[in-house]
Amino acid sequence: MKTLLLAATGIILGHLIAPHLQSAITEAVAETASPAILATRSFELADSKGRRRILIGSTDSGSPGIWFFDKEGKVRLNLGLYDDDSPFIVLNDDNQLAVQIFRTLGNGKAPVLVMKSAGQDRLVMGLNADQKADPFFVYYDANGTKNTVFGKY
Amino acid sequence: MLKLTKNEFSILFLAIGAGLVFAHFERTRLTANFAKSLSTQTPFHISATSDGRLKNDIAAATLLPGRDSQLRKSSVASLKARELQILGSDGQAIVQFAVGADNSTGLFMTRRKDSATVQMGVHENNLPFVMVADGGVRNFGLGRVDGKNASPIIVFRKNDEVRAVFGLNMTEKGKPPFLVHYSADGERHEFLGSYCDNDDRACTE
Repeated sequence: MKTLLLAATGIILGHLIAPHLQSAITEAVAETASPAILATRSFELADSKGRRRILIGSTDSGSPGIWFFDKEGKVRLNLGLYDDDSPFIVLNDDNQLAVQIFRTLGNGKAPVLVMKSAGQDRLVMGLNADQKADPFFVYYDANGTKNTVFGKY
Repeated sequence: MLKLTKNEFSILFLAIGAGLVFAHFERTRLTANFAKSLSTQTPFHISATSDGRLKNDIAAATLLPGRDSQLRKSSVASLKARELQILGSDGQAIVQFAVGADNSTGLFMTRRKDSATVQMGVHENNLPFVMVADGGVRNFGLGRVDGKNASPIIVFRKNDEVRAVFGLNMTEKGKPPFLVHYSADGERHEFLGSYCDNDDRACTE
């Protein structure tokens, strides 16, 4: 009986002590090892199977980017800066081909949205890269014939 | 004073150890549940809080990083983790990179008090998305790849009602482009092409 009581008391004590112990450890670690800024060349987020699912880093030419991978390891979402420093967000299909691109373009840094199929532009809209920056909206049929809804592109 | 034998001391220490282990697993379970809740942060539920402050000021809708010269830095060559959080000054996560319980991955940015959110990532079905929304995800702009054609589409929703959708057809061969919009009374206008707006996913599969 005394053994059981001791065991029960011990478990309860352990449970009560744990949060304080953890908190003390966390605070100690925070104080000594967790800086306000952590700088790194690259960061990988891995899933429970150790597969890389998100990568924050840079391209070989030094442009920053974030890549999201699907469960098969294919890049499905990518954002960052192109080599000319134009920002972009790209959504890919399961062949890693871009299907939706939101980016700036040209010297005027005009915003453009492009939708693609099998690597071909199918719908493009945005502002022209010239000084007027007039809006445009064009699309292409399956044969590649261009149709203008408004504006010039 | 309670007098204990050597064996009884052993039992007490073992039991305390068991209590510590139990508490640890309980904490781990709570963390796992939090991660699971992330994966369920899909659109179309929870209450709405609209933030219209940027409505007429699109040019100002970009931010620069805060000044960090006073903060202590640490550098490492590379990092690998199951989760990354950027904390606000109050210690709450304002940016989070995480893997959901359903194996979706995402980047979540949330304003304090959940008044707005930016989310992007890859759904459990491997389809990517980018969304800017209010905290309740009832008002948003959403770019995603969807349907059996893996088509790019963009959806604008206000007060949990779709007001405009455009992109490439999600089921038809040739993926013809479409653009439909809805007036406040729900009337549908097909500006370009056609779009099936059944609530079930019969129009996308």
